[in-house]
Amino acid sequence: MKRRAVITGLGVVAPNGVGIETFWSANINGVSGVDKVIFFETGPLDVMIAGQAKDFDPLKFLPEETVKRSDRFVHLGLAAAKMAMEDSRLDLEAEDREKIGVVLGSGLGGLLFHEEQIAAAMNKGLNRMNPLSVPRVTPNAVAGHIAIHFGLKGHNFVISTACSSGSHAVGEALRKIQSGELDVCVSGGVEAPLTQFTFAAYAALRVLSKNNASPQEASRPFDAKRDGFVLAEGAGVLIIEELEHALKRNAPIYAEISGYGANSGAHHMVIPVADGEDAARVMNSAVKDAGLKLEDIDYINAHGTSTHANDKAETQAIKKVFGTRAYQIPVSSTKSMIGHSIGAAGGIEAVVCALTVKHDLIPPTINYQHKDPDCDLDYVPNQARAVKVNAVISNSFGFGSSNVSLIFTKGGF
Amino acid sequence: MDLNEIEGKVKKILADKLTLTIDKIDINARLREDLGMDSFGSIEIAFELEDAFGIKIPDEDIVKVVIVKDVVDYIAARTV
Repeated sequence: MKRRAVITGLGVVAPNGVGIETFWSANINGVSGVDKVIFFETGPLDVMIAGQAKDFDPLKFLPEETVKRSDRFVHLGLAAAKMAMEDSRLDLEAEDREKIGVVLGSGLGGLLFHEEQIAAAMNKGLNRMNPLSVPRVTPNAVAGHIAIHFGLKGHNFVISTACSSGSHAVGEALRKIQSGELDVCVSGGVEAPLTQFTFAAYAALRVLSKNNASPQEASRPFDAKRDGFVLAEGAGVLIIEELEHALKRNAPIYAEISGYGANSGAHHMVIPVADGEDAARVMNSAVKDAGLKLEDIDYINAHGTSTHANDKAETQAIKKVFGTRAYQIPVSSTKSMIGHSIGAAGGIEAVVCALTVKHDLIPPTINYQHKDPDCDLDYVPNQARAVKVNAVISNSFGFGSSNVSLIFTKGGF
Repeated sequence: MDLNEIEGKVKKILADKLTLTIDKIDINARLREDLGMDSFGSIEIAFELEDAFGIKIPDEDIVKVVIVKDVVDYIAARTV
């Protein structure tokens, strides 16, 4: 019989909340974390808003020495991992650490430090690079720091697939548990893209909302007046554990991760397949992997970025998969409140899905006001909805034509 | 610059880079064993000292200093 994986701990740093309680309350009450950019000057850019984790103080979670010697994306990820580990009540002293791994997603790595070092090198000379530049910038720094901090000796790697990184990581963690290579895996996604040059690069792509006048209304997935996504930072980390292992130690269980599908649209580095054929395929494969039927699905946590192209294609994909039942399934995008945190998004949304399944409460798509004929599903507009949730699909579609769907289910253990 | 001034500046840089309070930086403390300076930290500290005192510190000199006083003397010998 296939080994099963459950979620036994959660940690999150997001623009609309640090820590599970604050974050979940914000999501259920429709609280946006989007605001004017205060981390740096946006200069001549016509985008001036972002999802900044302004309430996050790394020194509350990490030793000063670690804070000084690592990039912000490590601060976010390690802090979320510490919260998740504490939440799981896992006693590491009693565990076989070789069976505990770290599999995280990050699309970009330590960009803030990278940019600072390039600026320093330009000013002071190439021989003045910080001696720890390489280990600060490398995208796997976050997994390395977590493994070192907790002494975890199993797999230790980072997956980088842009906006689907976090979901890929959770899916691969599921596989490591199913295969028996790991009993426990620290997984999820991390991103700290709010740096001057990276922000400008996303602005140059013309994918960001310019609704600077009303920052909290800028991320409006599926709404007819959507004009792009809001770049955000954050980390969502989960403790994923083999079911019997979790039961044996009476661990708190949020949900089971029961299915994972991954594929490629093989289409374009940025533009999604217009009719959502690839997104439909990936949802179907995840449902099949979970051993579920389509009628079992109660809720879809959409990729829902708030770009014209994504939201239209994803809506079409959902219709392709579910036919007329598509109109009866609640679909929401929590990016409406968080913004789009790139490689962290899949991790943060996995946290959302675990809590949705646990609490039978679906977070809304906020800022939904104007109907778009291309997006005509039930997007759970503006108000959370209390409804029995047994099975959830979480979608993540990354630049590079990289798609992931995950299935979260209520355990009943 | 007199020795006291150099010592004050050196201690401030060491405290900041090694995440220690300034009272922990004894003039005879060993940089590595007592204050926890590692090889990466030593390079970062060398950069700070170069900026603070307007001198150049070659890599081969970094390994020569043992205690805090060695750093102060090294700088005193190279500043007017």
